[in-house]
Amino acid sequence: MRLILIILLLQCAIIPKGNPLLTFEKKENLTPTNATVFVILNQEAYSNGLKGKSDFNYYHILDQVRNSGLFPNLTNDLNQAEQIIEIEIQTRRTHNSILPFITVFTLSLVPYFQGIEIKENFLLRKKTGEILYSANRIQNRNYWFGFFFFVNGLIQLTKETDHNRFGFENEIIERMNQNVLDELILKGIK
Amino acid sequence: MLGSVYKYFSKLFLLFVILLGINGCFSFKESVVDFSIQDPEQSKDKKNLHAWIKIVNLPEYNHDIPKENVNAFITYKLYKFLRETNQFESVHILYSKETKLPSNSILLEFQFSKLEEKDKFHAMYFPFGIIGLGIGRYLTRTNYGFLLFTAFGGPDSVHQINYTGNLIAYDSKDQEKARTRINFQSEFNSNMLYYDKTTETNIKRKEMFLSTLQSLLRQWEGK
Repeated sequence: MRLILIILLLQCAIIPKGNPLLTFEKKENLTPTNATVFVILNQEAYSNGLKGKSDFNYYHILDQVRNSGLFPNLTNDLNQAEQIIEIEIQTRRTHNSILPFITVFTLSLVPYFQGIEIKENFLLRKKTGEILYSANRIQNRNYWFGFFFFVNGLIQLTKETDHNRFGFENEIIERMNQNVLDELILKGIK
Repeated sequence: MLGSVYKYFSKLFLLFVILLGINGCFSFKESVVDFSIQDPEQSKDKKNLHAWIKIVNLPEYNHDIPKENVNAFITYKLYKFLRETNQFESVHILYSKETKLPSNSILLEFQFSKLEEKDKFHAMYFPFGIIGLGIGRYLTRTNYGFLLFTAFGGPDSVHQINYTGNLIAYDSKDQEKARTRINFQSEFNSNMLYYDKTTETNIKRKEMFLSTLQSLLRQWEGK
């Protein structure tokens, strides 16, 4: 019984690996850029080395960039744009492919493990190619799920379009992207 | 009594199989186009060229992002693909005509007349899947048979790719120097064992674009 309780307590452990994101002071007097900016997002997701899907999408990034206050003139037309923001996000998940079945069939007594690595490359350039700002971020997490996985997995299964079962990926990407924007606001565009 | 119930359900089941199968034959849907290579290639013959990709002009909407952005997004995917082939000194996107190009530049234009990817549920796979389910259930005599059914793949689908067009190379003065045809039609079965059919699609696209690019570069070098 004690063992079961201990396992249940360890059901949803999130273990960050590697360097945490640096914190940047909030700049009080923000000077937004006058240039018209076009945002490109290139996203790739891999699960155990195979191509997968990610639920994080263009609109999340667009909202974040718009809400930063630094780029008030976002455009959907590449021809009108003076500057381009290129964002590359790559998610790599690793897990045992048999473990989810074991977790479900043992009613989460054996927790499910997943490692996730997310890389972001952020680049602001002029249309002529000159790079104005570039930043890279990388985040690693180890997840242990038990009952949480079981319940959440079943709920998410009913959602046809939701490929990201836990929503943690979105949270990490949003945090990384916000961190890049905070740095950009603090340092300013060249 | 039990026999008649069994017959009734088996007929109903067969009806569902036929109806779903017929429906599946007409249920093509477009899927997202993605050109990425999973890991960068180790190129042995890197060319002393700076590649610049012109913004593509796609024939039709075929992506899950706003229509006005599709051309830019696909161009970026092609750019990343070319970057990861490691065939060039550097790879860039030509956003503006005012960009100053070095003399050893190669301008690449991807002209697509057709760019289609579709998924189809195969009519025969549903009955096969049901038989697989039955075998799984019979072999294990428990509901763990469903696990076997999942492992075998279950009802499956067919993925179709159809790309046609041209890949044109220009020099730094925008003069056409080489041209090769993009002509790629493929149809393959996807299975749950592959985890995701996009992996298979990705491999096919990579093979196609690499061979097209190499053919173009051979022409370029022989000019």
